[in-house]
Amino acid sequence: MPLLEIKNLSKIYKQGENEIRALDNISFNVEKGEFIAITGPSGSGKSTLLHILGAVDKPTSGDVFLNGYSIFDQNEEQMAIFRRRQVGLIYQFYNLIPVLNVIENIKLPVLMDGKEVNQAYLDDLLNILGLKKRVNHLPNQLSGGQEQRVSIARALINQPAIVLADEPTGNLDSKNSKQIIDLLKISNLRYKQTLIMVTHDESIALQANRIISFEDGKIIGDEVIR
Amino acid sequence: MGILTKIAYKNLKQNKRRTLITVLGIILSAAMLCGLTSLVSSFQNYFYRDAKARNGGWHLSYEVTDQEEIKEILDDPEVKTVFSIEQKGYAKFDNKNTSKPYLFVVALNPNDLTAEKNQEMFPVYLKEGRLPQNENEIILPDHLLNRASEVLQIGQTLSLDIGQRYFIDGYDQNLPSGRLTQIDPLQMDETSLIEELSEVNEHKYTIVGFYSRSDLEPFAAPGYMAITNNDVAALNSNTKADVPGTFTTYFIELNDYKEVGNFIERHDNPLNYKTNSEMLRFLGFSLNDNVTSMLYGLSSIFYILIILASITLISNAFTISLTERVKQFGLLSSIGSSKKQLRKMIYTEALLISFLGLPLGILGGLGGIYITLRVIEDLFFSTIGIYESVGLELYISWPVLVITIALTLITVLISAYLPARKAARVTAIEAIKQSKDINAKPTKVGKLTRKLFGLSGFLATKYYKQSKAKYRSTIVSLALSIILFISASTFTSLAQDSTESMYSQISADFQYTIYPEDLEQEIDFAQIKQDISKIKGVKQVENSFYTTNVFTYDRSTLTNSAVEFFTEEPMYSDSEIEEDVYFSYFQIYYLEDENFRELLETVGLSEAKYQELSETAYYPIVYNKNMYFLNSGNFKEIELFKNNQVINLLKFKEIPNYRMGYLDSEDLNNVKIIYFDLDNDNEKVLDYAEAVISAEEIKLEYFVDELPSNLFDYSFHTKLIFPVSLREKLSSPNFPIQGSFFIDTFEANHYAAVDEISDYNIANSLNGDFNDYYEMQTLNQNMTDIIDIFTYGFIILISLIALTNVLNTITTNINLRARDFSMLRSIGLSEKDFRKMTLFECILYGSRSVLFGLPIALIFSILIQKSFSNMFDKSLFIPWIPIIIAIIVIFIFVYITMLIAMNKVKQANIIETMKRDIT
Repeated sequence: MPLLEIKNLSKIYKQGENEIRALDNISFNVEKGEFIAITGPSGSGKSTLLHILGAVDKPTSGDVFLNGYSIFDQNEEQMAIFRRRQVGLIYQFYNLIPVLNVIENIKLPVLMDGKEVNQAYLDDLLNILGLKKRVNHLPNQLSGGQEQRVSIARALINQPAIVLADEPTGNLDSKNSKQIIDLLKISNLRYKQTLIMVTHDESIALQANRIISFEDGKIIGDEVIR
Repeated sequence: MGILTKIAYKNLKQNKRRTLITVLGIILSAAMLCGLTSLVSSFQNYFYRDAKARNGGWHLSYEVTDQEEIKEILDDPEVKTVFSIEQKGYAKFDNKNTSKPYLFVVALNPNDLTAEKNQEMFPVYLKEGRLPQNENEIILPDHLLNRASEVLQIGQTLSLDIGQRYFIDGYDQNLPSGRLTQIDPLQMDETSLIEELSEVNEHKYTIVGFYSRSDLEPFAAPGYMAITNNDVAALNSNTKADVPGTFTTYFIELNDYKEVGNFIERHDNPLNYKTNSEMLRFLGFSLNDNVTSMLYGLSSIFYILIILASITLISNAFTISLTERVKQFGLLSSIGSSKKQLRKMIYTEALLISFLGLPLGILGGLGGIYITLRVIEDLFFSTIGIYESVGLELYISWPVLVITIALTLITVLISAYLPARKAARVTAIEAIKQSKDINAKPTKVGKLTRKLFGLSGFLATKYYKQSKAKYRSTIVSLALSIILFISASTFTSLAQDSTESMYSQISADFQYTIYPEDLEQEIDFAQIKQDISKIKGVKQVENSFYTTNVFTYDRSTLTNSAVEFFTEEPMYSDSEIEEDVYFSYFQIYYLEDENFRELLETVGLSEAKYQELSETAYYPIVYNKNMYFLNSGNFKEIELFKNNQVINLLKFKEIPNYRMGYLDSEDLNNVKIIYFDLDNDNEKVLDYAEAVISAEEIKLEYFVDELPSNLFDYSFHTKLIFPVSLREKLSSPNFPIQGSFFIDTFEANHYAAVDEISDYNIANSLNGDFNDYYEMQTLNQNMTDIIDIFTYGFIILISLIALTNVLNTITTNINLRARDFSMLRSIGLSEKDFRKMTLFECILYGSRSVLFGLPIALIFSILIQKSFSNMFDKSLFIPWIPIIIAIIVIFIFVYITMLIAMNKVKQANIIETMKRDIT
């Protein structure tokens, strides 16, 4: 059974008289441990897909199954728990909580669950992400690359089923971009972390092991490159 | 328009909601400042016009015998108007008021003023007839009508022997004017008059009218003021210069009332002058009295509160709009705007909204007060006004209005200055990164918080501690609401206390008390009761009797606290007639059987049991509270007798045509009783042993804490209550007994019934006295209504300011964090946690504001209580109920506000919110 099954997914926005089909009957499967890049021009529907997969947005029709269970067949409370435990989100603009320091931001999803943090795993993450010396800093005391690394750590802390990254390097220079992609690759290899990354950057997409191309809300290409 | 002004203008236009709130703040504060000042000035003006209508519009008056003396004063260029009356003198005039046995005849001197000006200078309000036109015509005050021994009518001729009042030989005192005047009450020693009339001339007058009693006739004046006229002809033939020793009073109006002090100094001579102090006081001439100092003290406390509230609201609105635009400032300064220019931009914004808000606020404030005055006018006049013609009108004092405008502008500028300074200090890069607001200090979250509220509490505390500045304004506003509410409640309860009369314990609507004219007069109270009961509108009549008797008691019967008190304050001690035996007057009430039965129940006695007791001795129901007023202005309450004591009621030897006077115990070995005859002219002195014929034992065993509802505490001393059946046995012929009828009326016929009882009193030539409790209560109620209108109006308006502010800050605070909330939700914060966080923040807001606001509120409460105590002596109290209400309302309000704001965030699309640029 595939980890993730996307079945006939559509998302339609109404804008006055016009209908915008952000997603038009999309279907594909994701296996555990895959690193998928989703590419396409702006407005092709790739971010919409990511938000639906992360359960922060709902489809107009169609469904998404994780390990055979429908994501949207849950109530609000269950959806929140789903987001907390099964999904890790990485945004272009990091979205860290400004009043919490690095370590608190990272631990946030675990704390929300009222659980204890796996200290060994946390240390490992901080080492890999090079944040060891920054744990007590507040977000506004960090550089953009550092902030993004914190948000990666936050996405990984709960060892979720899937990590969704929305243009994770969109706001960074090339050196920092490379670092971030390398880190994502490491997490994919080391923890067998399933990753779905949205990017419009061809060279970054090539780092993944499968590329799905979007245009006008439809899949126009889906190839496994390694 | 410079580019920065343009930006300022555009900012206001684009940020409509914020601009609206700021303008609203300015409108509210201008309206309240303007309203309060014009309210104070309208009342001040009313009292001024009222005083002027009653006492006349003069500033100074001089009394002279010789025209030469006043010449220099009248020639002073500062003098605007002169009005004079001649004091003809006093004439004996038979009437019921024994301390007012004279007519005081004054004559209006001819002048060339208009009739209106004459009326303004020397107000005479005719009830009937016309003003006197020559020296043979006279008008009399209407309060003489009921008291005069003969019926007075227009057209009637009076023959008066007019003279001057002097002390009789041997009592001479140094009087400033050499003789007694209207401000000197009737002079008596213990028994008889010590003044007499001399230089008496007879004069005949025709009554041509009656006028309303004038305030120019002092309350304790010995003469009713009768007014005649010195016509020109009379003046020419027989001028007052020809009658040496006749006083003329000159009433002088100056060009400028502020010159009164200088004027008096300039004419520094021994002439008798008087200022029209009541009127001048309300012109603001002298402020050294309690009423005005209370008025000013209170209004300045409220000014401070309004200004504080306004500054917090307006400066908050600015701070918020600036925080939201920090990025814009960064941008502007990165392209080269100087700090000065940025500040100027903010001030421009402030002035722009002031120009919008100020006129609206002033109009609103004046309009509001105009309407308020219209609404309360009727209530007000039924309460205190006598001269309704004066009218309660909106009075706009221009200097005060200018000060209001200046105050509001200063408020706005201070409000803009604080955030402007902060904004200008932010560097361009800080502004763009928006990082200044977060405090980099590490913060700890308490274990309890984490345990009780988990992550929600943890997050809320972090937000609170790291960006305190954002929370501060909310907490200040909340605290301010608490302060305002508690201050205003304190004011209300004090104001209501002070209007609550001491008559409120009385349940009857009307009291009719009959005093016997002399000891011989037999009054058939039972017949009177029957007659009164038949009057239409009378529902129920209760009859009780009241007398004073003489008692002796042993020192050992007194409570310890009484003994202690009398040792400390010997002046209050009763007369000692032999070693450790005291002599005192106590009041006795006799109640009708039914009323007495009710009283017996309260002390747990049955009627039968009381009957049984009465066979053996006299058992009164005792009210044992005694109130002593101390020199400090406070009073002390003391229970006089211990339980189960016996005291003696003395009966005195009856001497025909004499009544018991007083007891002389100066010499303990030779105590004497003094008797007076009925005219107070003669006295008889008897030895104690000879005068006291018997002593009845009175047993003090049954005590009550409160008097029955219809007995009024006139003397604040121990009282003994007996059934009416014992009246004959106990009463002593030496002490007159008075009967009181406590009458319940039907509301619709109350006044008709009162009139009829008053007619009954006259028709039966009874010496009755009336107390209309129904009317007093109605007046009190009106006064309370007026106070309520003002204070609740004030509370509502200022709470509006404070709560707008809270709403503004909380929603902004939550909006600013909308992105964070969305992020938290996107990584799985549940609904429940979200609510918990809201609740926790609400507790944070609430508890901090209570912690901070309550002590200050108490200080204000005490300040208000102090400024009240200038007028009423009261001990300080803590307003518990308003405090509890304030706390509950604060928490509920914050929680609701937060729920609404949070709900909005919750409904927003997570993705959209996160993408939103914070600018």
